[in-house]
Amino acid sequence: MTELGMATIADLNPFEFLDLASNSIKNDMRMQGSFQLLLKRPSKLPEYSRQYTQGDPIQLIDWKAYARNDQLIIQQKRNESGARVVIAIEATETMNWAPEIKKQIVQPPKKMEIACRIAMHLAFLHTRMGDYVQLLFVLEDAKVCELRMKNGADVKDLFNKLLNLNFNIEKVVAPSFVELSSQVDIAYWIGDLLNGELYKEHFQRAKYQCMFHTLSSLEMSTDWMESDQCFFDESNGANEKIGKDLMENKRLLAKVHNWSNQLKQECLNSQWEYLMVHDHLLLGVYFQFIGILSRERKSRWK
Amino acid sequence: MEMMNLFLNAGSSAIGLFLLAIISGVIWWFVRTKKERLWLPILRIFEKENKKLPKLEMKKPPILSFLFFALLMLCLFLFTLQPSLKEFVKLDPSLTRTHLFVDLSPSVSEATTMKEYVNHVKELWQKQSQRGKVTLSTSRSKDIFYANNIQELDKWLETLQFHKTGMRLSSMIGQQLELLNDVNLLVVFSDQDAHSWNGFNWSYLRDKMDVKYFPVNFSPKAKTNAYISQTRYLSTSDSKTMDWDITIQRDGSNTFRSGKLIAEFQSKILFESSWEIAPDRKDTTVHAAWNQNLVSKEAYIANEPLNWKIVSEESDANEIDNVFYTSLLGVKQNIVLINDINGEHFLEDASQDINSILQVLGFHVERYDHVNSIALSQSNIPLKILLGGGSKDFNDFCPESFFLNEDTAKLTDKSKIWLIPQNSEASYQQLCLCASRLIHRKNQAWSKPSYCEDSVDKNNFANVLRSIGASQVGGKIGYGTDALAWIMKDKLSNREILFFTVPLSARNGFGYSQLPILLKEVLKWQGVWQHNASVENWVRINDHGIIDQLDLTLLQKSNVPQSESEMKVAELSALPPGIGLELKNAEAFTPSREDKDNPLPVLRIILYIVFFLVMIELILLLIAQNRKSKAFTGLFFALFLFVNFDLYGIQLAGFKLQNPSLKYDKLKEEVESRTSITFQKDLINNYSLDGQLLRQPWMWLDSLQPIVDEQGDLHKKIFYWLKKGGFLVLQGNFSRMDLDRLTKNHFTNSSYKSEWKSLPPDSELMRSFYLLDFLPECQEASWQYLYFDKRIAVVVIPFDFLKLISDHTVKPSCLANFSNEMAIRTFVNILMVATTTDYKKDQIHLPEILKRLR
Repeated sequence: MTELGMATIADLNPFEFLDLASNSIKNDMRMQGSFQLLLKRPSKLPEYSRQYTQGDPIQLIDWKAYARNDQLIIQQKRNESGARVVIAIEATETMNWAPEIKKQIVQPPKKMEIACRIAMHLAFLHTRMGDYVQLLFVLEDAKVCELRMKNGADVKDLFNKLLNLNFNIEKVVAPSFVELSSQVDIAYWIGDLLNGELYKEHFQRAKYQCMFHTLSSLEMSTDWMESDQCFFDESNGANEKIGKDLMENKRLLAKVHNWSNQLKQECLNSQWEYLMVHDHLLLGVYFQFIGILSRERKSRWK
Repeated sequence: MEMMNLFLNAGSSAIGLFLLAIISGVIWWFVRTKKERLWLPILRIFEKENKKLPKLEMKKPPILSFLFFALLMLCLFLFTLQPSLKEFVKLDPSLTRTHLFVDLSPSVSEATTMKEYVNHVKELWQKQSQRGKVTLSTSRSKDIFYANNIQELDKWLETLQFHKTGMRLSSMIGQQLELLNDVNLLVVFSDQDAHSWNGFNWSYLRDKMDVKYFPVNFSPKAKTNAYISQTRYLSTSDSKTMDWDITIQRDGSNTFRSGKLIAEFQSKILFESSWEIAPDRKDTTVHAAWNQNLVSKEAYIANEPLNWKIVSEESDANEIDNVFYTSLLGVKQNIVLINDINGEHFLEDASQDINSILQVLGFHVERYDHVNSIALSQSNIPLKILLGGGSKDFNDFCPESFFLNEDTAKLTDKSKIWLIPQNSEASYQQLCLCASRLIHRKNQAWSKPSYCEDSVDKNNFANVLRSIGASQVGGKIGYGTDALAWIMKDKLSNREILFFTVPLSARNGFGYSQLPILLKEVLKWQGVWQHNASVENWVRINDHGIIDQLDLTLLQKSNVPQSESEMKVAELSALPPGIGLELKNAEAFTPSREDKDNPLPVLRIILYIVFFLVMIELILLLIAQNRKSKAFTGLFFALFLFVNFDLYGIQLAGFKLQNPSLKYDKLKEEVESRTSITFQKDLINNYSLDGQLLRQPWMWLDSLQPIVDEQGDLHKKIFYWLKKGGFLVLQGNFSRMDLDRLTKNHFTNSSYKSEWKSLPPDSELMRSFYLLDFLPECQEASWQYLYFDKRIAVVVIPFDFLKLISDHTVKPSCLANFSNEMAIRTFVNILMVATTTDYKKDQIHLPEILKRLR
């Protein structure tokens, strides 16, 4: 919750359904399946019909339609199936980062928690739509733990377990050998992208990709820092800076801003949707993005 | 201080650096851990934006900087004299700085009168002052004198006197040169006395100045010198006379000497006697004695010396050493002892021990029972001893008259008082009252002090003494009760009072052996007992250069050191060059050289280095510009490495080409492809036994002429070459006689005996590399060989084999059927034998050889 009491993504519950009153949902044709229609439905709208062109089988002409509007219409039949959805969470050390803060600031949730909440939510949405949902935890050494989400109950169980264990995923999953199907339809990547471009290794072939760039609000602010505090990171050789240096001219913020913009650009260039997520992100923004995603996806597949 | 003495070297620096690194590491760790370090993973995005390291690029060498450096060196050369080396250059005579050192030691007086001496100094001063600045100094003091004109010099010279102390030139001149800035010429006026010159390293000064010796030998007085070498006091403390033994020594030539010996004290002659030294003797001893009454005690206290004079009848070289000072010994001093007699027997006399000991120590003790006017009237008494505490009234031994006032202070000037408990039963209260009275001033009323009421025993008395400001004498430090005595000094009167806390008696624990020693030491410590009973001479100061460290009163009464009187002379060769004669001829003496800074040698070296560097720079630049010029680079390095290229391959050496058009390219290719030998096709034509020919492993000749001497025998050099392992191939038709002539001298004696033989079919030549069935032969002339040093050393091929293996194979008719391949194989075999001898004899190769044979 923000100071004004508005719900943020830190409050996201997987079972929180999209606001059905929103226009994006209302305008949506239907919410059954995200990829292909599961059920046939008669329609005279030219969504799945087209004008007859020379060479089409004559028996496929909708004579009734011809009788009605004097147009030769061909009805198309399509195979329908649930989408293969892969939701990958970067389960690295940086995602579990939780510094001890001296100043009197409410300790924000870990990035892993945010990531899990989003993942659970997406999983729930897709299971509800009847998609085939695979939950992946990508570890630091590129090992992968897999969890199959068959229905909403699976998602609910897992979410409750994670909630009880304070989103400590090590106690929930164990690394296993996972062969990722090349036939991934929708791929979500939720992570801070601080451990290299793992997402590129895993999901280059997905038909639809979306990136939730998850950061902590602490990483996007220097208010909690003290000028004589020393900050370090030794992953790529020693890198040590004092708070004063980072706060000066909003150096850290400027860096993070540039970096995320750059990442966003890279994602968009390679057909990835991009949303930066942090614990202060309002839920409405998130839902709006999900709605846009859904519409975008449908328009792409038409 | 020890830290200051730490020596800084490479090892200690390294250890220091190491320790510093550890300390700084620890400090860093503390600072780091103290600072709150927080992990901030987002920091890694900073690295992602890091700029790449600039690519390392080879830049052109900075030749311009070298040129500027050269320019700088040129500027250094033109405009400055630094850095420089010392170099001797001729001195400008008008700027000569001369220093004249005038030796006034006693030995100099043997060879001149002061008047003569002064005249010579003056003469040299006048001449040298025309050339530049002249300074003067004497051996009397280290002061430097500079005369602006002749009058000033005259005045100064008038003050000169010989001194009685000895003098070392080294210390005196050393001190004076420290005061002088720059001197070009140092002239030492001195005699040749060994004592003065001893230890003077004048050669050391030659780097800085010219050192000249001006011999003082203007009017030698005599060749012998008589002087008092030793005085001994003989009398004991109880003697009535003063007895001395005086040794008079004669040095120089062995002539008869006689004269008078006079002992004089305060212008009063105490003794006079004649003496003589026979020519065969070196010395004589005169016994001198006089009555003690002749010397008053007052005169003695004046601390004046006793003068011994020798008056010589013959002429004496050195008159200064004819007077000899000694202390006046044997005068008994008075000591007043006040002690009330308690009994008749001397054993009951508490002062008996002290009395005896003082007499033994040479004092005259005047004893009184009570302090009376006689006792007080004794003036100039060094010590008054009060034994008290035994009488009824302490005024008996400690009267009021002891109070100090100005008069008594005069009377008791420098006198010392001892207050001693009379015996073990002595009243310490009385002693305390006496002590109080002794330190009291008369201008204040004295009353019995209350602190003495508690002074009932030794310890109380000691505490009282300490409380009134006395210092502890003897005993353990801080344990006042153990003290032997307490001392107080009155600054006004110099009166020194020693309060003993224990009775001084041999029967009271000190013993008869310890008490005399104790008293002697105390008297010595207080300065009452001053003299040894044996020999006591006045000082002989050897070196006037140390006068700063000496008491001036001693300096005035110093005797002439014996080494100055001995007339020993230093070797002339050890002295600096003399200038006495030159002085007469030349107008003024100028030193020949002076040190000057010369920067040229250093600059020259630097310029060479710069030139060399610039050259290297240029060469590197050329190479860098043209990368293809690898050959040039190689050549450049080869110039420095001095690689001898002709050692890389084997040449056909010594073959005299009859047909220069013959080439061996094919042979070279064949040999190199079949074997691992790099074969040089070039033939060495410049036949010379001294040249590179004899450095080759083999030699191929078609004539005997190059290897035989004038008599037709094998040349010695060739024989030694064969002995060292050389392999000789002779091709052509040589008669047996010619071959025998080759071997007749060197190969006939028992150790090297060998003869020509036809090559057998199992010879190594036929199997060294290829297995050959036969060797090419012409007209049935067989191959000959000489077996020597367990190997084939010489092979004779009876036809022109080289023609056979040349590129343009010219086969003799007799070898029409002999294939080219066989010829090359034969050549390779010969080459192998020449380079490896019969290596196939080695058992290791045997299985392989057998395999090939089957």
